[in-house]
Amino acid sequence: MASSSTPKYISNSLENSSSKRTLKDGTNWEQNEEIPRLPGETRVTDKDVIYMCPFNGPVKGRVYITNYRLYLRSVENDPVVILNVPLGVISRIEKMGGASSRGENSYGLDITCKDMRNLRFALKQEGHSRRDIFEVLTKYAFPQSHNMLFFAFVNEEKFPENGWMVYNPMSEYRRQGLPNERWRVTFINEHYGLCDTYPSLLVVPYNATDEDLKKVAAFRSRNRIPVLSWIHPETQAVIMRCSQPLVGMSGKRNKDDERYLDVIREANGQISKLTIYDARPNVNAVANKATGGGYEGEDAYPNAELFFLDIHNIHVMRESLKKLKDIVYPNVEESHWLSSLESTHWLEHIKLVLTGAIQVADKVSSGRSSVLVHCSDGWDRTAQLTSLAMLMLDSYYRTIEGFEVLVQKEWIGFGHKFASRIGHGDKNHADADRSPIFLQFIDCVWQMSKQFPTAFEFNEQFLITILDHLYSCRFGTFLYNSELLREKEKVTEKTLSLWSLINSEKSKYTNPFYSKELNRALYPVASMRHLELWVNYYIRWNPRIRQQVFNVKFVKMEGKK
Amino acid sequence: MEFSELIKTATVENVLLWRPGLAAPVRGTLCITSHHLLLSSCPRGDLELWLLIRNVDAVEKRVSGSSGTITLRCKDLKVLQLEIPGMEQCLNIASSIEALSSVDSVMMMYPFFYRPPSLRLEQGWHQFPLRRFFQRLCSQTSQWRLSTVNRDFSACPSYPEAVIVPAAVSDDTVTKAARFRQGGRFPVLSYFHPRNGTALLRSSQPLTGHNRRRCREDEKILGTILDEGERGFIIDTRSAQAAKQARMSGGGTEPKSSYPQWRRIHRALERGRPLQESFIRLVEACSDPSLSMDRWLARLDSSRWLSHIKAALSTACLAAQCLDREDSKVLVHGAEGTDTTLLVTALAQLILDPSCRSLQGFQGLLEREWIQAGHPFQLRCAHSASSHVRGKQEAPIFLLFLDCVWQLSRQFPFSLEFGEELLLTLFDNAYASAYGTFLCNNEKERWVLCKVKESTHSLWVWLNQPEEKHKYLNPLYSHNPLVIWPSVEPQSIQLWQGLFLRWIRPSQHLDEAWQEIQRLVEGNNNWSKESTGKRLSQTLPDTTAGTENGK
Repeated sequence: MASSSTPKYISNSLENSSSKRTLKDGTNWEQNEEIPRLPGETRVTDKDVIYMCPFNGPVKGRVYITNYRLYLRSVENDPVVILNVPLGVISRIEKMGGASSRGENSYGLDITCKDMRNLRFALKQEGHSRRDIFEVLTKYAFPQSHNMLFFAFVNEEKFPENGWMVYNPMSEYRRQGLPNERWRVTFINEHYGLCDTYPSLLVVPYNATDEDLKKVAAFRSRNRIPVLSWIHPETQAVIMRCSQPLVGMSGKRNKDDERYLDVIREANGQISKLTIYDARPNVNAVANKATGGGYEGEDAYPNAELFFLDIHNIHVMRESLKKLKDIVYPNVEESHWLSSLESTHWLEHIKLVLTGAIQVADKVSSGRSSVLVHCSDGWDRTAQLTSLAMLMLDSYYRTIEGFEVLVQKEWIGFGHKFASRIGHGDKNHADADRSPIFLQFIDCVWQMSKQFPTAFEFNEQFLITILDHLYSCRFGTFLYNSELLREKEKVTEKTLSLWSLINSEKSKYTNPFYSKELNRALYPVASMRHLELWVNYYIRWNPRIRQQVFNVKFVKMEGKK
Repeated sequence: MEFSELIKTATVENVLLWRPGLAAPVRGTLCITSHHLLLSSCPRGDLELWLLIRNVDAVEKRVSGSSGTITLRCKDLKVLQLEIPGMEQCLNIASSIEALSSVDSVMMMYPFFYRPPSLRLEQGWHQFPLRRFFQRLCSQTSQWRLSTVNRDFSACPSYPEAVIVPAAVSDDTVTKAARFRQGGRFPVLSYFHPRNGTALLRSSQPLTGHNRRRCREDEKILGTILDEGERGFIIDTRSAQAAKQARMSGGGTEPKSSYPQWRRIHRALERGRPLQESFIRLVEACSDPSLSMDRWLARLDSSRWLSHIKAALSTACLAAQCLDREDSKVLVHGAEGTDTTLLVTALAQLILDPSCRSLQGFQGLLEREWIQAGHPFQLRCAHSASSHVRGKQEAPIFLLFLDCVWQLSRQFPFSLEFGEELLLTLFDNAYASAYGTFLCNNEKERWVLCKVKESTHSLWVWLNQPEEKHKYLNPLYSHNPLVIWPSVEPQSIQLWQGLFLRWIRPSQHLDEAWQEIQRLVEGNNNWSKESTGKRLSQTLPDTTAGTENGK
């Protein structure tokens, strides 16, 4: 194995095992300690187990559980097998086998993770060994279900950079040249009175009064009124986001909403129609009328054209990712790999999201037209579309700090329900609210970075780190569903920001080939032919995608004869 | 034959041309010469097209009313469209292109007429003689010798004049053994592994036939290279079944009883017609504009191209494995020993031997293991994926090799000194070229029959000119002395978009990125203290990084 010819570059930037990474992260790991620990991390229990490694067979080891992680170190293997799993990634813990189970290693725990892997530990059948570890794990992996704090609230790490300072809505709007004579900043939502899932600071047309906004809110699902996300520095065309109008079966109309959309159109001095992108498939939009929702009809909005972008809902995406996991973990479907990949439809969904975002960006940039983007509630598909379009149009968002701002603004600020979609600390693994919408967004970003290798300041490791901490609960960044709730929980005071970790060690996340260029719109090719599965993320636990494995196979082949 | 007889209409005005990368069609004057199709735009007079007619794989014509459209499908997978006013003109142009592109006399081909001012004839044809390879070998071992037994191409018409054989075996023995191998391709040394002194040999199948013929001389060649008790591996690139069946037509395999120290491993690699069809299906899928995208992966899968790559790489790894890990000598052959055999031996060397991974070394490898080793380029590359001629001999074995090299370069982005551009150039030139390098099927034809080396220019000389060479280098290259074991898992094998989607995808950004990387790396070498330099040294293999940290 020593002749591994993997160049340095690869092993540094595409770290395959989380163990290595977390070891480096652990600022408080002293050599004489048994396991790495973060400041504020405390040992809870440990136990001898057999880790049923799907790649190398059973591994005898000792598992340590802290209030942050599950850590396993093998006792007999050389090199030592290490497993380092933040408890936040656990989605489900099951007991396998009963006290009377026969057969080797058939009694123990099955752990399903949110990051494309499963873990299985076999235990001794004596005593209450399993009950204890099961209870401890359940308690610390699902603190929300046990009235406990997330680890982020007890984490005592210190970083030279303060990630909470990265995003300031006011300075971000100023960077965009706002407010100006056509757009104003409103504090109407300062105490989340207008909309409890929106940020406190909003940008709206200068010609719309706060009274107007209140009336519009009544006609938009969950009061998520159309507000400005981004303005084109030259064309002054804008990207607006909102939720669906409450048209309902009876085809209700709302004069204020209609006038408001016209005001948006006119703010750009635009004569042509306002373009509305409804992210949903046409049928779904129609079906939403049954539950009081719907879309902007032609009669009511003669000055707008509506396009459906055919992106499916959170349930379809969840099922698609589940299928993807089935074919890549633990073993990759070898025969007909591409056909099985196709049957998951994962890349097709990626394609639709990217295609939608390209349309939005192109309309604003080449079409010089303002656009309004919504789906049903305007916090999943809408966030994907606006943030990707902004990434295509504005080179600032392609820097490390700019991307942090983008995530902070379009996702966290505008109430993507991270807590519900990820299920932070929640034991209800089958919750229908869970869905990999943010992962899908990051995948789209990765696809773009593949097509434009010098356009992004950050590297693949940056994206993987974001995804790892999307689940880990070590930072407050992705906790809770809205700004209102985060304020209530005092997240910025009591927890650390993920950007503190990243910005304190920026070089690790920097793309060496980045070449700064201003304001060039990047349109990725979104055809299936040009999309790739993100192997370094989805299949990273499989040691076979690394080199050298050929050996093992050869020896096996020889052994059989 | 005169070219002028084939050209029915030499010039047509007012022709509309569509080619990839062109936003709008151009109008201009079309001109056919003996070897080229030219189009200069009107009224600007820019040369918009300069196409080697040999590059045309298929001509499709459609006439409607008073004008006609000709679609030219090129061997490099580009597709051009010409709209020609006048039905007769259109048909004339089409038949002229058809006739000129299918001229089959080698000496009528463009390389025999191409005389670039910057190059001298006969330059470069001796750039990679086997002798130099042998000299290096001599310094490492005395077990092998350079034999000129084939100097008049009588022992084996598809071998070069000089070959490397075991030192202990006389030319007489070799001559006799040659009669026992198909096409006379007796076992010769392909690669010597200096780390442990093992060797890679190649040959064609033994002519055992159904009555299990034996040949003492052949057994002697294979016997002498193994010490007592030493075991060697024969990697047969056919399935056990196919190898057995070959006995019926006079071929076969080495039976255990006559070659007791050799162990046979069968690895079925696709070749011939099925491989050509796989290529055709893949190109069809890639260029199908109507293809509903959700079926793309299934079509890519069913073309089986990626599985052929996987199989080729795995077999090459197996050979490399036997040499490097099992310390065993290896003989590779299939049937004729001119296709899959060379694919495996060339790839195995690239995996094992760092000197093959330099630009020079790779050219040497191609010269030794493909061109001089007698891969029948003329037969295999007569047509590409779009031809309507369903030939029996065409097979994209060489393209499969280039694709495997590309896969290696993707998995080991720093280990090959050359980049994708070189592989693309090699593909283009293997199918249609201004240079003589890939003409003919073997050295005998090149030297004796066609005088290729006296009358054409070598591609290598062209490539190695400093201003050209620059394009083919990988800016990220850093010498890697280790064996590069590729991953052959299905998810590690990717479609070579740079080739198969070359004319379809907008490559501008990737090209710019490549230039940017080149610029950064050069900047890094020149001013390593500057900020880009610092950024690069963190991720690129850099020996000075350690000392910097030490401060």
